[in-house]
Amino acid sequence: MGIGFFFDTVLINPLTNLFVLLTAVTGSTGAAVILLTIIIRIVTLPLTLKQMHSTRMMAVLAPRMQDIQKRFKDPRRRQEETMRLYKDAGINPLGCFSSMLLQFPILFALYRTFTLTVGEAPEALIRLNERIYPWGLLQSAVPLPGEFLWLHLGRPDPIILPVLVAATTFILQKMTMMPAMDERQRAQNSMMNMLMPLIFGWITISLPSGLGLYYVLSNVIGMVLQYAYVGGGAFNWKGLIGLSQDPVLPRALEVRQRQMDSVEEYTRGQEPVGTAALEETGSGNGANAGRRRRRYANGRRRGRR
Amino acid sequence: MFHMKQRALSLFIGLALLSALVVGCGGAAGTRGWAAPARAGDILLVSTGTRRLDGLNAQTRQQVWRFNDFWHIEDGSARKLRGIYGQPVVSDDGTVFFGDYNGYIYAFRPSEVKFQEFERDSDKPKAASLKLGGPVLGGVTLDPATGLLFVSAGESLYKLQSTQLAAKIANKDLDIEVARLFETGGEIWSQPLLANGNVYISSLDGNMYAIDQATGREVWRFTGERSLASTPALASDTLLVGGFDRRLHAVDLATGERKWSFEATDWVWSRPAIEGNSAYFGDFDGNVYSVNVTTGAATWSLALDKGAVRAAPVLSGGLLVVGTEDGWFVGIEPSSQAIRWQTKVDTAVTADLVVAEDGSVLIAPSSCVSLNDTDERVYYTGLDPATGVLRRALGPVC
Repeated sequence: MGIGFFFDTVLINPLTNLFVLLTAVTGSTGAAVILLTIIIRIVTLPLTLKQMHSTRMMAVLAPRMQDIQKRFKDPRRRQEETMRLYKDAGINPLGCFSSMLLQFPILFALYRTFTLTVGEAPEALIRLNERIYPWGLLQSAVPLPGEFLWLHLGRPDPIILPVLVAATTFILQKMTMMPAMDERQRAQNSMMNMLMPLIFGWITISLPSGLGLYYVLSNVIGMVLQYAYVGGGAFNWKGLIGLSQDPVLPRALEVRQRQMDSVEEYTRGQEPVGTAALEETGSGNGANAGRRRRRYANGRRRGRR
Repeated sequence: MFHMKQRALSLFIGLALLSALVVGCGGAAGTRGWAAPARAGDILLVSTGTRRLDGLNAQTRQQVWRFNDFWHIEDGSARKLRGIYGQPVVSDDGTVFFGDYNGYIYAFRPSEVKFQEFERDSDKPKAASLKLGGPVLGGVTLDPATGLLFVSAGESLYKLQSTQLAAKIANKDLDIEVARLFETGGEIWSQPLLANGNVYISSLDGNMYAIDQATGREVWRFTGERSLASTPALASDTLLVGGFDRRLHAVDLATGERKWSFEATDWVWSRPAIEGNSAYFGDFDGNVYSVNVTTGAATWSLALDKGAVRAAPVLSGGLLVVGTEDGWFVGIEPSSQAIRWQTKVDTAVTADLVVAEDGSVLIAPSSCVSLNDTDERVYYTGLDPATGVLRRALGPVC
C-alpha cells in the first residue's frame, strides 16, 4: 500500500465524491465549489485558529526574541533560550505553518477532483468512473456540467480569476500583517506583500478554474476569520492601498498591546531572559518548566493562579 | 526579526508547495485521444497518444511520416494539435480528414510527402485546417456518394463538402461553406452514423437524434435515462446505443421508438459489434455481453475483470476481440464464451478496434510501453485474432 493509494483513499476519493454529491444536490458545480470550500474551512478551523494565534504571539514575542539575539552569542544557547521562550509562552513555532502545510494536500486533492469531475480531458471521465462510490445519486450525477458564471471549472481562466486570487491574497496578507518595527522590516513586508499575491496569481493561470475559485473563496473566509479574530472594529482602507502605515485592522494593535502587556506583567517579577535558563540547566527542569508554562491569548494570561 | 524570517519561510514553503502542485499536476489533465486506426491505401494511420498522427507502412509497420511534423499548416494556431479522438477518414483520392480536441478539422494528402524537400518549413507539403465550434470528439464521417463530411464538434453537428476542404490545401484563402446542421443540448462524443438519408448521433444531453442529412431537420429523438456517449451501431432496422444509464438501448431506425433496453452493471460506452442477430459489447465493470438483437435477451455475459471496456470490440477469425482499460486484449469464442487467449500491453486500450482487410485486428493503445522491463519502447499496432500475438510499429514512433 503506497502513499498514492493512501492519498487516493483518504483524500482524493472522498473529496471527489463529496463534490459530485454537492453538485447532485445543488444542481450547480459552482454552488458545489462554494459549499465544498465552506466545509473544508470548517473542518480545518481549529488549525487555522491555532495558526492565527501562533502568528500573533510570534509578533508579540518579537522584542524578546531580539533581546535573546543580543544577549546570547552562542548559537546553541540562543536556540535553547528561544525554545524556552516559546515554551513559556505556550506556543509552537511550527503552529504558524500547520494550516499552510495542510493546505497543500487539500489543494493537490482538489486539483485532482476538478480534473476528474469537470476536467477538459474526456479521459478523466473514465478515471472518475473508477472513483465514484456505488451510490445511485452519485452515479446518476455524472458527467457534471463544468460551466459556472464565465468559467469552465475544469479549464484555466487566464485573466479574471488570477487577478481575484492575487487581490484576495494581497488583502488577506495586509489584514494579517502588523506594522513594521523598523525600515528594513517595512521594506521586507512591502516586498512580500507584492511578491506572494503575484506568484499565486501567476500559478492560477495554469490551474483549473475550480481550484482558483476555491482559493478565492478560501481567502474571503480567511478575511472574515481574521476580522473576527481581532474582535471586529474599523477597517483602515488607506492602509490597504498603502496610503497609511497603520494596520488594516487597527484593533489588531490593541490586541497585540494587551498581549505584550501580559507578557511584560508576567516576566516583571522573573529573572531576565536566559538567567533562569542558565540556573535551570541540568537541574531537572521538567517540573519547573511545567510550572512556568503559561498561555497568553487575547491579552489574557491563563493557567496561573 | 524572527517574525520576518518566519514570513520568508512561509513564502518559501508556499512557493515550494505550489511549484510541486504545478509540476506534479501539469501533465495530469492531458488530452491524449483515442482515435481508432484507419487505412489510407498502403498506409496505416495511427494516433499513438502523442497528439500526432503517424503514417505506417501497412505491411511492414515501418513509420513513414508523422502529421503534422512533415506538413505545413498555414494557420499557426492549428499547428499545435491536441488529442485526436475520432477515427480519420480517407476519401477516394487519398485525402485524409480528421479532427482534434482544439476544434480543428484537418485535410492532407500522404502521397505528397517527399523527405528530401524538408529543408525549410515552407517547403513541406501543405495541409488545410478549419476551425469549428468545439472539440471534435466523435470524429468525422464521410459520405462517399456525395463527398459530404459530417463532423460532430462541441454540441453541434456540422456539414461541409470534403472537396472544398481538400481544395483549401492548395489555396488557404478559399472560403468553405460550412453548415451547422444541428445543435444538441450537450457535447457530442459519438461519430455520426449515416443511414436512410439521416445522420444519427448520440449526445451527452441524453438523447440520440435522427437528423435529416439535407435539411438538418430533427426526424426523431430517443431519450435515454442519462448521457449517451457511444456511437450508435446499426443492426438491420435497429440502432443500438449505450449510455451512462448502464443500458444498451435498441431503437427503431425509422421511428426512434425504443424496442428494448438491456441493463448492464455499469456504463455502456463501447459501440457494439454485430454479427447476425447478436450484439457484443462491454461495460465499465469489465463485463462482456452477448445480446439477442431482436429480443434484447442476454445470450451470455462474461466477467473479464480486466478493467472498463470503452473500446468497441470486433469479430474476426471466428473470435470476439475485446480491449480493456487495464491494457488487456482478450479473444473470446462467441458461441461458447470461452476465452481462447489474452494478451497484456501495459497501457490502457480506449481506442476502438478495427478489422483490417486481411482479417488482422488493428489496435491503437493509449501509449508506447517498455519492452520486458528494458529501456526499449514499443508501440503495438495490431494483433492476430487467432493467437493474440501482437505486432509492433517500427521506427521512431515512441
